Amino acid sequence: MTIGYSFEEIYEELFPAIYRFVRVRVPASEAEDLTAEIMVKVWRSLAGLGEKTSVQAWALRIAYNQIIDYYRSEKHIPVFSGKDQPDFAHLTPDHAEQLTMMSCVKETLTKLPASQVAVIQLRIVEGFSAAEVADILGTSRQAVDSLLYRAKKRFRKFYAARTTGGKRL
Amino acid sequence: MREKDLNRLWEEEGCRNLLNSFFTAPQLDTAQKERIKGLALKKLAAEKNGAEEAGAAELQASETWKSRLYDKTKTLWWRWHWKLGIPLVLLTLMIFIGAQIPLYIGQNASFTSDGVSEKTAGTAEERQNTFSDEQLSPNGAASSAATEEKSGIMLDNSDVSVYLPPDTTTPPADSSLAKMITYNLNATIQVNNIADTINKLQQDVLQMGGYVVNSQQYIKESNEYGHFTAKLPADKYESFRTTLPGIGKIVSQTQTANDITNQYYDAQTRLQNWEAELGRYTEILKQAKTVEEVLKIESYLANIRQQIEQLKGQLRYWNNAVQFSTVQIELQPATTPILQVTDPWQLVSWLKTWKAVQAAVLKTISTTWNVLNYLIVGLSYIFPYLVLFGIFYLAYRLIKNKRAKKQKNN
Repeated sequence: MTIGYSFEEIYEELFPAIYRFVRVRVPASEAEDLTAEIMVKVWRSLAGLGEKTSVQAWALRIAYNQIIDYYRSEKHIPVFSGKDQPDFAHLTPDHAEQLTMMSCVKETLTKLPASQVAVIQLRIVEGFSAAEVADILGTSRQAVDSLLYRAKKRFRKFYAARTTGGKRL
Repeated sequence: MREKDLNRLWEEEGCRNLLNSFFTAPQLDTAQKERIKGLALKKLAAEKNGAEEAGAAELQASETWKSRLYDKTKTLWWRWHWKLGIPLVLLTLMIFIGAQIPLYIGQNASFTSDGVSEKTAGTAEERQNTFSDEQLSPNGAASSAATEEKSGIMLDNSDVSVYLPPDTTTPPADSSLAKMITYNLNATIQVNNIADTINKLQQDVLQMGGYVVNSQQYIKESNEYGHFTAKLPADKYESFRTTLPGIGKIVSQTQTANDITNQYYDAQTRLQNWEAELGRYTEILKQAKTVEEVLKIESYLANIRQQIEQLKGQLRYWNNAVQFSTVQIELQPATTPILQVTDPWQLVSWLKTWKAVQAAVLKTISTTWNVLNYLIVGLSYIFPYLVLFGIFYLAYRLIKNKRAKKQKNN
């Protein structure tokens, strides 16, 4: 496997995105092991990676498939693992407002289909192009665009309902 | 263009920032990162060891190839899993349609086999009737029906018992005289090969000193049938009958024995009387003087001669009937076996099972096909209603749309 990079380099490059992707979908107890597994797979399959695809998208595709494998017994991949969530303990009481906002976002995202959440995360947060996201999720560009559009509509609807129901606006 | 729009859409209301901070919220813990890295390295090392043991290069190549294939099939399945069923169903349907013609014929054959057997039973009966007519015709005087004993037993293929005419009912004129009994056998047999069976039967009959009266083969509803009639010396009749189960499956078997002892000796006595009368009239003829007398006596003589000839013919026929028994055999093709275990301790051969399995599969397929046909026919029954419903629905939609537009305009 002589591709000019060491495992450490690849790991540094890819770990954040992959872990962020995994930890919202898999219970924390499993997330670490699964991430390690994905990293191994990515490292192993780098040899078969063509020039044209970006390593990041390739890695996330592997991560996505791995998560599907993990949930294979169930039909839908839950948006959130439900039991344990990325905790916001690092936020001090001073950040109470931010904390409410975060839980608000979380609740809103729970109401969205898994595919829409995946598209949001990959396009908005990780900054992949529509084609790359389509490649990762195994769909078409158009499907990704429409998913993103519908996600926006739904997100705004639920988020607005949450916030106006509370103290804001 | 669209991408930009979408991005701008998400920029609104600070959504992007919100989501960014949500997904990246707990900052990545370096300790955790190192821990996962350690885990991954451990896994890699374990894999490497395993790979080295099994021959590293080969395994890797096959693994990437395998995993790629696995990935491909998996994505295909995830995306198309239920849609794949449609071409499958279509393919099966095509096969059904392709196999329909032979299937249809097969079905027909199984249906008609019953009908044919009924029919052959009918013809057999008819034959029997004509036979007894023949028997009666040469002798108008023989009021045979009353004295004739005739009995038939329809037998299952399993136990075949011989019918013996009751001795006591009509004692022969003289107990010292030999009994005159004719034997008839009608049998329907299922065989695998009609032509071969007929050949074999012919050889058997010739060997036993009998002769073949009639043998024919015909094809009906794509199945072959055969009919075979022969005369056998009476003493060989029984040994021939015992060979029948070896030919095939006996569907039905009827044996008829006619005791014609009384009629036979009656006729013989009558013949003797007529002959005596003939002698007397010949004497009288010699003494006749006038032409008138001669003519009168001649006419009597003609009548007597006719009677004598008839009786002689009848006796000849009976002699033949007693000396040679009649055997009529209907040959049917063997039908598809349905596995029936009559004796649970008897082992069933695989061949039978296999045939039964084939029959079962074919039956299921043909039933499915027929159900489909019925469905299509049923659909065409309700077709006019469907059209009506479609028209009403369209009208409803049009009216609804118009009303909605009106409301909008208002």
